[in-house]
Amino acid sequence: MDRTRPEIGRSGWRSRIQLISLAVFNGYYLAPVGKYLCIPVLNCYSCPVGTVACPVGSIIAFGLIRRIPYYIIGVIGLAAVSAGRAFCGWACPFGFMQDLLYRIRSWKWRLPRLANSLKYALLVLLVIALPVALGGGKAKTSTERITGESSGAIDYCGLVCPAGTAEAGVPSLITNRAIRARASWRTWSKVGILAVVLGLAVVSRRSFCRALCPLGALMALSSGMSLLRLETDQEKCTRCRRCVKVCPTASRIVPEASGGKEATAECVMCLDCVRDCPEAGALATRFGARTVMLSRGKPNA
Amino acid sequence: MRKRRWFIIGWLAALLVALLAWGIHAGDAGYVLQNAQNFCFT
Repeated sequence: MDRTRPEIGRSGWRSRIQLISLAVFNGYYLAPVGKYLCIPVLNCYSCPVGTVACPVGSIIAFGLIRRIPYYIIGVIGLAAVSAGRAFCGWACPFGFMQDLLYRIRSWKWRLPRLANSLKYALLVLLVIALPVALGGGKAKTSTERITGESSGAIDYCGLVCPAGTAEAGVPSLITNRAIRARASWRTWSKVGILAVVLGLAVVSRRSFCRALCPLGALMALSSGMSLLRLETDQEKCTRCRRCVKVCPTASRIVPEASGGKEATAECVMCLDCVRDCPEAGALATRFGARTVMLSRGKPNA
Repeated sequence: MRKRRWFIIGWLAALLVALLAWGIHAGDAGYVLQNAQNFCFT
């Protein structure tokens, strides 16, 4: 058994940080303080144990009263500029759930790259445009968004969000008779969407993050300017495309595949590519001018 | 190229800090909390 200390980028290290994030973002005792904070992870704040406010739910809430969410834009933008989409790869509880499900032995399949653009459409339509246009300038209350029963709930939380359904919807349906009585066809369609997303997570790695997560889309918009980034050394890279094969989000990493650019906005900084790169020094993770991790080269990769 | 990148990142970060400060000043964080409490099943 390998008992050496795991290096950054090994999935064991990442799993531990994801587990800590799961506990922190769902630690009931912190809720009275934490729900002021929007942290760029998909964790439903309708769940009583949720300690931080969901940025997607908050943006929709601002849209419903037709107010620009400067605070949320600032928080998400600063997170993306400093760490890119590392929050998606290292801290998001719903991403962690998908990583665990993908470990189940089954037939595996990779979503076509075209699916990545669906999340941008969801961001524009269900998080921004429709809540502003149809919300009527009025905030919705209590169970309306999760059960989707409100006539104006044509938004991501009310129609799609599987994280909200998993963390708040399903537990509430099981434990709360009043909510069960108010459940509509929309509630059950969201449970169906959750089942499909979880099933898809078993066969296709991070499929929800790639195709359906509007927060990932929002982070991706400014992650191109991130201080934390992947860089390829074009002289050392042999274009073996190992990095593309291990990438959970099908990022274009090798120079030839990306037209000279490094990892794309889809990269969640899991660092599997740096760990698995067969050429020493060909791939590097940098924060500003500082090298955080360098590929060591794996002769048998 | 690198200098230009730093310049853009610097200005972007300054703009985002200004937006964040303005949002907090305008009571956005309070609305986020109010909204979260409103939705919370207890």
